[in-house]
Amino acid sequence: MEPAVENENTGSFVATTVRAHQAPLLRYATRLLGDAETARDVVQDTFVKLMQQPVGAVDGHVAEWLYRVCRNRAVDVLRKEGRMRLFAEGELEQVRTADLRPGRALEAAETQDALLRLIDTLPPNQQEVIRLKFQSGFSYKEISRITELSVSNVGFLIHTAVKRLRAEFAAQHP
Amino acid sequence: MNESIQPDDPRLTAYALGELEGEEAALIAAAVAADPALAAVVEDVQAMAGSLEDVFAAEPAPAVTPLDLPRIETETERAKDLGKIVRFPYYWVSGLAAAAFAVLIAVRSTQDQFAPREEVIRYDLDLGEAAQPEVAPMALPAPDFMQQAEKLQREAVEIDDANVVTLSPFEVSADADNQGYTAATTLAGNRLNTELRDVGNAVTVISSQFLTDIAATDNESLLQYTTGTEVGNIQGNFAGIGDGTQPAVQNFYNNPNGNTRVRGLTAASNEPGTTFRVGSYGSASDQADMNRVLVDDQLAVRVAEVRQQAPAVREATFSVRMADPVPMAPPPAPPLATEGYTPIDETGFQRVLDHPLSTFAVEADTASYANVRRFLTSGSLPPADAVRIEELINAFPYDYSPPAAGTDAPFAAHLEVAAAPWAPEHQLVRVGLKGRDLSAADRGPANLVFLLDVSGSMNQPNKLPLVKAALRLLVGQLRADDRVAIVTYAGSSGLALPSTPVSQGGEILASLDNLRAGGSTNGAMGIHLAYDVARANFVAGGVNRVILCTDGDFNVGVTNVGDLGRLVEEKRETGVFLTALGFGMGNYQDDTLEQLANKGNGFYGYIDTEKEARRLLVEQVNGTLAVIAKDVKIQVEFNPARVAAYRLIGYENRRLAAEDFNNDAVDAGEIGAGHTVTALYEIVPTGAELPTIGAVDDLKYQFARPANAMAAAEPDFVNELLTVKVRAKAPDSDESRRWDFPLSAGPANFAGASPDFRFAASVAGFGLVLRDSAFKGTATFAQIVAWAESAIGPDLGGHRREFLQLVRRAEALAGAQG
Repeated sequence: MEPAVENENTGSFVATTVRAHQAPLLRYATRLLGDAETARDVVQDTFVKLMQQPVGAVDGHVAEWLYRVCRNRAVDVLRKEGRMRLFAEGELEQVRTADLRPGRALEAAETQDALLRLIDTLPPNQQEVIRLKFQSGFSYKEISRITELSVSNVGFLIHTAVKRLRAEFAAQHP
Repeated sequence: MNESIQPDDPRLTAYALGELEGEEAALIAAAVAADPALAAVVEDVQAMAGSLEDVFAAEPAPAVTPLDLPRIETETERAKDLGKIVRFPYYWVSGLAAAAFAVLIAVRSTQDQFAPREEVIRYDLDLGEAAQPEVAPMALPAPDFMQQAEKLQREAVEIDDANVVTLSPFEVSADADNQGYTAATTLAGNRLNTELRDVGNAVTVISSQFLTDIAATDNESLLQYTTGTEVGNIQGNFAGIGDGTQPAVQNFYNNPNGNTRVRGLTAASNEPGTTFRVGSYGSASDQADMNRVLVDDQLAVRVAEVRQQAPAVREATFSVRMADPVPMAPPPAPPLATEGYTPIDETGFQRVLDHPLSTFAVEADTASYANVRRFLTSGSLPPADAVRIEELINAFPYDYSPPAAGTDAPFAAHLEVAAAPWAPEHQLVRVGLKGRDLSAADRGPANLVFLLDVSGSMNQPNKLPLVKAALRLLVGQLRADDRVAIVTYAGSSGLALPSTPVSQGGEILASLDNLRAGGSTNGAMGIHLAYDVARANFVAGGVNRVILCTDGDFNVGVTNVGDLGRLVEEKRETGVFLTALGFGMGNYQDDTLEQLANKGNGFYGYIDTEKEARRLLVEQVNGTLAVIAKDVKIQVEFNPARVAAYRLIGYENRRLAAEDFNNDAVDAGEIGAGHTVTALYEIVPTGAELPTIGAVDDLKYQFARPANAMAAAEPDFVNELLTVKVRAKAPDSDESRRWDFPLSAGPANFAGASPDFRFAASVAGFGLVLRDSAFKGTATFAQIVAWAESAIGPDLGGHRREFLQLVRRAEALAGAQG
């Protein structure tokens, strides 16, 4: 009954966006929250919000918009549940380190496994930024908008993480 | 060029990833073109970026069920409908009312007038098995109610149950676990399955089964098992204890009535300890910590208790007071020390005829001396078990000459005999070994991993800061091609510094400076990590070593000393040795560290001051780092024609069976470059009065060996007192070689012995007196001072003078104790 149907998202736009970004967004949310069920809720909320936007407002930078909204929602959830652990250092390492033994790289044939494990040793904020850059393919500016850090801060985080990965990787594969 | 770009500049990374624009990009591009080092960095970053992209692309995507799009769309449309209705409040209200009734009515499917509702909005992803809310069947409402509802419903505008939002149901429930009657987790505190001890309030679940089992007939019995409650009784107030699974908790020992008020429980389990506050008659706050069960025959139980008399002593609020209140039992004896020392079993004299061979493993550790010094300077006498005489003797440098340049023996032996100063009718035999010296240039390149304990317990001035200072000294002594890595272990383990050559010393020192203490201690995981890093940078033919710096308190994870020891043994087979350096006091685990160093083929030292750090890590750095002989064992055979009985002073933990001497599989001690090792035997020459030794029956199936039979036959042996046989392996070999050193009888005068001999004897005497040994003879602190003073010698480094001060201090302390 409402006129101006063109003001709303057409079904196909949403459908394609959802198909394209559902899995990576779910992965991103799960890493932020640590819990798959809550992550699903958050991703659902994100897409609901997407549908309430006119197409023109998000066209061109859908991915960045989705990630930012998802991140904000995740931060809200965390704050509500009283676990602002998003940037706590050391905790993630505590959970993961049980499996980290760089010496195992000598036995593991796959460089990729070793690299993944090295990445897991990074502090959570560096991990997030590294994945946004190299997995989701965002630029510094986009990452800065998603995470609400300054561009130079993002640059520094990526630089530190890459430097450390290079050093440790080189140490294991002389 | 107005500024030079360092390889570490973040802009290089940004440039490599294509993130720079305009002027900045041009500037960096020019710098990269000019400097090949920068170009290499850029290439490296791009290579890493490529690897990262590949790795992430290969990462498996999470499993996702496809979103049910039409449902979502309908939802948003309905959300908009909701917005419409808000403009017409009347319809909204009536609509909601009707919808509520509609839901009620919907359930009653027997009614034909109202079509049952089948669509329920679920506010979640369609997983196909979202729970339907269960609504209990309602009683039939009155007939006019039904008609009214029907009327309202017809009047309602386009309302369907889109406006009914059903929340997913949840129950507050508590699951019982297997340990009795308590709940372990609950959904009550927040909607997450939380452990009870994380919930703000104590939640105790008392089931009817439980009440039956304890035959509870009144509230008092019930509340005995509930924390945080208070029940009046004839004896006063008391309430529940422990975690409710057992009424009596073995950790608490402080009550006259078998029941005490527990105001709160901070740990729900009794391992590793229970903290509880006891109130009523004289409040007290207790913390018990019992968590050590040692292996084999060494049952050293550690009880750590903090107890404070809280000021809040309360009168019984409702109770029938007895005429004379029962007084509290006196508090238990002061807590035992929390430090750990292996008990030392002193052996007495042994008859040569019964035990002609004395075998032991050599060790050059010196920790006990530093530890004793720490006790004495802080004003108390050390516990007897902390005094290991062989380590006291070995803590001092002696003037033994090193092995001759031509021979390939890794050490030279120096034997001397003279009268024992505390028992003039006995003699002392000193067996000294001097290891070959290695200069820094001679040893192979070093691959060191510092394994540092940065747990909370290290956060004291004589611990972590001292560790940092000591390691800074050590790094200063290394060569440029040596490598250093830093692994820390606290609650988590981490590689604080990957293996870095000493030529980049600045980085190493910076990492050292950045270390901070905090968290608990997970030693086992740290050791794994350190050994892996050492193996990853293994230098064949060089010094590969893990240097463990800790106060020895392994709190989390593998705490079993046996398991840790097995781990270290396993790792030493790969060629990486372990040196243990102990720091601090109070939580110090001397026994753990000594065992680990022994099993790791390494050296064990205790560092109480920067001076000791300097001694171990600067003056004797080569000895600490480089091992010149491995698995060194000594076996002494005494000549019964000359010696009637003997006693090895010290080395109680290092005794070996006679057949172990030739068994290369048996682990023994190591000698570092330039180290000296000294052992003292107290012997009773033939003709002197034998101390009381139990008699051994004559053998029934073998001929008794008449005394002196063999010795008398061989004229060459007549003058020999004993022969010292030494077996040792080269550091990289598994086969030992043997050297023999006979000792002839000599002049017996103590004053005529060499200064080194006399000093070593006085140190041994000091140890005997400190331990109040049965064999200390006529030795006293004053006499020891006299003996040592006459034997000071050149005393480079002032160590012997320091010893004198310690003896005087011990004398004063002992005198004060009366």
